Order: sequence, then structure tokens, then C-alpha cells
Amino acid sequence: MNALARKIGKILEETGLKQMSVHLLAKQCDEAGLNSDALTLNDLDLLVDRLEDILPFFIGQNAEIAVQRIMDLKLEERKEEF
Amino acid sequence: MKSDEIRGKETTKTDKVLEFLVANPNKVFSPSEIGEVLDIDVSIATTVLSRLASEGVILKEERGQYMYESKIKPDVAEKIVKRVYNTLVQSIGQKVTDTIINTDFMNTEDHLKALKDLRDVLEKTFGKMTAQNMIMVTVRTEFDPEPCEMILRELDIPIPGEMS
Repeated sequence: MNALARKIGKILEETGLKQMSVHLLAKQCDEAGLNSDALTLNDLDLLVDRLEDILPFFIGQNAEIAVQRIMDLKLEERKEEF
Repeated sequence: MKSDEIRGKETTKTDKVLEFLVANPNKVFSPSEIGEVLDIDVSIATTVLSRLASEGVILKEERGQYMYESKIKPDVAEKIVKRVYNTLVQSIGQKVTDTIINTDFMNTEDHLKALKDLRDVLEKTFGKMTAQNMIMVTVRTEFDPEPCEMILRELDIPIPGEMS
């Protein structure tokens, strides 16, 4: 997993998914045809689409917060770029 | 599920008896068996069982035996187990799911026990809140609100809006 994937993994871990977050992220990247070792900001929309469907099963309404935090990574990463 | 939730009353010995029966649904017990297991006088067990049966909370079977009939029918329990399993496979993959959920869960005849075991396994793996949410979301997706509420009560899963 690259740095961006690890950040997403950490957000998922903090939702209560704990050690399962890494498996969930790997599976969802796989299903979306994304490489978690080379994840880019451009991949986030596709990944988030999948997570929006899957996460409520595990964490209910907190899924919205997790998804928002992942989307916020876009802004944070772009700020860092400048 | 606490017995006062079922009956709307609170009586210590009645609670003990009913909680035992709810934990062992669809199995018949005599007053002497209940008395022995719960360490209460047989005459008290007889009175409590008789009262619960007259209130319609439990069933009186032949030869003075009593039973709590689960509100979760086997086909319902089987459906929930399979649905949770399939959603886990879609979420975290087949291999990881199979390390969490023994495939015996899927092949048993006792679907109600499988469902309760599944709940316990999910709690150990994901924590109580996440496990409860997984089952609640599944039940809500599959069933109308009324049976959904009964199923969640029997599985000891808090119903949103009633959580303290």
C-alpha cells in the first residue's frame, strides 16, 4: 500500500473496523480495478463510490463521516502539493 | 433479551427462569429441570412457569413441560446468516471471511444457533457495536419493521430510538 492508501486505511481503522480495514480496502481497490500500491487522488472518487455502498453495513451512519474524511484527503494532499 | 422487556414486568425469579428459556429457545424443560439448573425450589419453578404460560409468554407442552418458542424461524435465521456472510465476502473477500466465519455456520440444521454464534463471532472480530450494526442493517434490509424489531430483540441488539 502506498502512503495515500495507508491514510485511507487509517481512517477506516478508526471507524471501528480495526484490523479488518486493511482487508476491506484491499478488496474494494481490487473490485474497482485500482492498485493500492499506486493509489492516486484521481482514484478516490471511484473508491469512495464503493465505500459508500459497503461501509454502512459495518458502521451505519458513521459511514458518511468516514467517506467525508477520505474525500478531505484530496484537499489536504493538494494543499501539500502547493 | 431481558425478561422484563418481554413481559413488561420485573420479578427476580421469573426473570431468571425466562432468561434461561429465551437463551434455550425451542427446547422443552420440566419444572424440576429448571429448578435444578437455576437452583430454585421446584414448587417456585412450577408456579413461575405456569404463570408465564398463562400469560402466553412461553408455551406449555405435554406432561408439564415448558418451552420458549423463538420468534426467529429457521428460514429467517438462515437467510440472515447467508446475507451477512455474502456481504462480508463482497466487502473483505472470500478468504478473509472464511477465516472469520467457519463454513459450518452455513451447513448446520440449527439455523437459530448458527445466527447467535455468528453474532458472537462478529462481536469478537469487529467489536460489539460494529457486529450489532452488521446484523441490524441486514435484518432491516430483509424484513418489514415489525418482524425486524422482534428479531433484533431476541438477538439482544438495541433498536435505534430505544438506545439509552
